[in-house]
Amino acid sequence: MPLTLAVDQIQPAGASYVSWEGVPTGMPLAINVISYSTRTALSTNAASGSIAAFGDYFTKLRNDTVLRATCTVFGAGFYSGNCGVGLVLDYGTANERWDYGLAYQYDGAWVSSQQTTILMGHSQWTGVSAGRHIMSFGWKPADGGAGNKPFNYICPNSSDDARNNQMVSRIVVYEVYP
Amino acid sequence: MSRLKVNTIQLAPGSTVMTMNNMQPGFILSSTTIRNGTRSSLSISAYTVIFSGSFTKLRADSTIFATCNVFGDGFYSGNCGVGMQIDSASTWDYGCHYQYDGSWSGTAQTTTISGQCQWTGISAGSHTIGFGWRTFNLSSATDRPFTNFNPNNTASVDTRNQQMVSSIFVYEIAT
Repeated sequence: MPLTLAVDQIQPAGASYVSWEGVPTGMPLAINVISYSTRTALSTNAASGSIAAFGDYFTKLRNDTVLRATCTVFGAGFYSGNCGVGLVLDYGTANERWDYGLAYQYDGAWVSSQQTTILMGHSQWTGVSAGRHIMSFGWKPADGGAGNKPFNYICPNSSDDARNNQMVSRIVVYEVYP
Repeated sequence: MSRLKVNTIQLAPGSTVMTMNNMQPGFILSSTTIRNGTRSSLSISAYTVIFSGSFTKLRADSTIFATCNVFGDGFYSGNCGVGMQIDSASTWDYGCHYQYDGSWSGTAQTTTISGQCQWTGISAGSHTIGFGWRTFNLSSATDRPFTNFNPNNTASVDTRNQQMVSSIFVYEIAT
């Protein structure tokens, strides 16, 4: 007979939050939303280099959880047909980890600066310690070639097309139970 | 109102997973990630599941919601009925698609497929969810969304590509 406890509210007893053990795999523990809404000219990467266009810090609550992320990133002014776009955890540190679960669709007939490029995807990381981390969007060409970027401007606005509102690119980071 | 104040909630001895009853509608009970990061060529067909994986549904009364991002190179069919299915052909959901580029001309061009699907009435237990295509007319076995699944830095495609990873995120939602 399973032990059943009937309650209407569960609250921490002095701790910052209630810690759950033995919950179903994949149940979310926390969600962090990273937004970027400033139209910014992008640089191209140097040889054997990479660039992180935007990102932010978040706090992972437990050692044993899995990190997942979804992203939608918008740009104007098409540039490289492909350039190894990805989400990167802890960019610029010894623990930098890229995941290439995202892409954008090249339009071979691209002709005008106001055309919007959409980039989207899913990524996942395991074995990430609890604590403060940074999640970023960027690109790292596999062949180490210099001079790449997915588009000229991230987060188009009315400067690109008077009909545009200020677009918002986002990364949503999910911490889920293993 | 009964209020429980605790710092840690643990499983009862002998149990393997906590059962969550009467959670609010929309609460995510569990989730599963299915990922594939291998470039492979696709055969033309009227009906093919490209990649799939299993998940365990905890309850009979919950809803399954899934999102997908799938990548390919070598454009082929303008439309071919891409979607996701659970277990069998009777459960296809066509909540995903790709954007046809009428001027497509190069093998390096990446095609991105994205979408969201939902199912009700799926029993508790183990199931398989897959992404693929199933043409509406089923009369022509000459379709595929692109030539190759999961582009990478193959020289004939684009050496700048990292190995792309296609994925399905599956969520079980309380109702």
